[in-house]
Amino acid sequence: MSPADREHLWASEHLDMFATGLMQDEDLNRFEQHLAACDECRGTVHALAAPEANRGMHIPDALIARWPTTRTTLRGLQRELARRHLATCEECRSILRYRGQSLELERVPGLEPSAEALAALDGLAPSLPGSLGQRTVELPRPRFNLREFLFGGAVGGLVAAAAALAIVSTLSLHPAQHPTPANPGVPALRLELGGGAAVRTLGSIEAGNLVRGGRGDTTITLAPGQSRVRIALAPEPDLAPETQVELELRDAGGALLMHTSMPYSYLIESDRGLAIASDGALPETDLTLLLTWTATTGTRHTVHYLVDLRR
Amino acid sequence: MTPIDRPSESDNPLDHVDWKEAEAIMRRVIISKVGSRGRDDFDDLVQEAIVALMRAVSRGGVQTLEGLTVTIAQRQAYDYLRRIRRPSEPIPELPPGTEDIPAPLEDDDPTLDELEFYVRQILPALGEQCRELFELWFELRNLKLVAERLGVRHDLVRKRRERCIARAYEIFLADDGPLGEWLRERMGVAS
Repeated sequence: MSPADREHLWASEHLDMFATGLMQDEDLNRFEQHLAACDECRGTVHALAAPEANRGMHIPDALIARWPTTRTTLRGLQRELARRHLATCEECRSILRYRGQSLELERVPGLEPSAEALAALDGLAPSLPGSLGQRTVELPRPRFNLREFLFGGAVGGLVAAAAALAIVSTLSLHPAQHPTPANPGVPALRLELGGGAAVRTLGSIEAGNLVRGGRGDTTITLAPGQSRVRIALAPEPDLAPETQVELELRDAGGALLMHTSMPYSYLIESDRGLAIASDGALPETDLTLLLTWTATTGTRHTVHYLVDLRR
Repeated sequence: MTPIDRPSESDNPLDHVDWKEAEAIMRRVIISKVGSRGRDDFDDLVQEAIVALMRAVSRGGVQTLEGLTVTIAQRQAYDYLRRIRRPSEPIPELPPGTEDIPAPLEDDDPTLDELEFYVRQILPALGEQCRELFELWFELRNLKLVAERLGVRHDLVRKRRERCIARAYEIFLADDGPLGEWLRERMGVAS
């Protein structure tokens, strides 16, 4: 590949940052230099600026066209921004109304933006250090080098194999940014909550890791050398759609690493799964996963899964 | 073929269109342009084109409805062909009179349309100077032209822009959804 081809490829990959005006100065200089030499990219940028394109002024047509799906998949800040736009845009409202679609973006646990994102949007958040303003929850005793932890699982035998939970949480390692007082040399972990899009990036669930109907102390053993694993869980065959399922992840010492909950009706809407990943092989430790819900009879049910990382 | 214009007493311009006929026209145009390559996406493409036509009709001033219907369907088809083309294939040429729309990003990424929509939605949170700067950027996509329009020096616009970008980053990076994930990936920041 020639240097010019490489620059063209780089520019193509960074067109989104340029187009949105979010490209940092150094990259902008490089992009502009390439533009000066590339007819194709100049044509693309020219089309971006075409007033007829009317870009970005309204909820994109592709999202409106698939509104039943859009309503259940917009997540985080995108959901809040679309909701705010819809509240005031008569054009988008009238088209949705004409198409017989709901004008509401319901508040769905697990799809809503973080409190930090809302605060930043509404100008309530203090300035974040540097440019790394990520939502961060310091975990109490970081002990292992997990880069990501994504939780989900197909809940219920009445749903097909693809139905699954829709929680995504990410444990990220950021060396030197958050040394812990208890062990200053050990980088802290971060816990982030998200939704389905992040799960899709992981690819398909490995069949060997599907755990359906698991009860009690079902053990999930990961293969040696694995750096990423996804697990679907099906603990209960007939959960009602409105059942609220609580999820906890605890380390071997019982410390709570993650706690969240969401209704079953949301959980079964798309293909999700549990995934644990690290930069290298998964660390030698184990985790306990607890799913808790209250049955219609009022009985509290808890299912434990031991995630054995010790091979 | 039945007329696409439908007489109606209603004040709603959308009631003046025979949408079944419009959809039939769009389906024919899109199928003829995209062929079997878009078989799985026909319905989505047609519905997206219908929404685009609804917007145009809502805004008024449509001269020839059938012509506009065909034009929007063609634009939709060519945009789709650009999106799915292999790197070795030539970029599909658009017929005169239709607007070229840049190909979106990788499949799971937000499209340029979506990204621009979300950036525009946060502009009120960035303050008046930044809102003005971004809106001119969306119109011109050239910082020198933006500086000229604002009547300030180019280097000052660059400095102002840096401050505005930092504020936008603050908002997007606080998000744990797809927008935050997208920006973190673009910045090479681990999620």
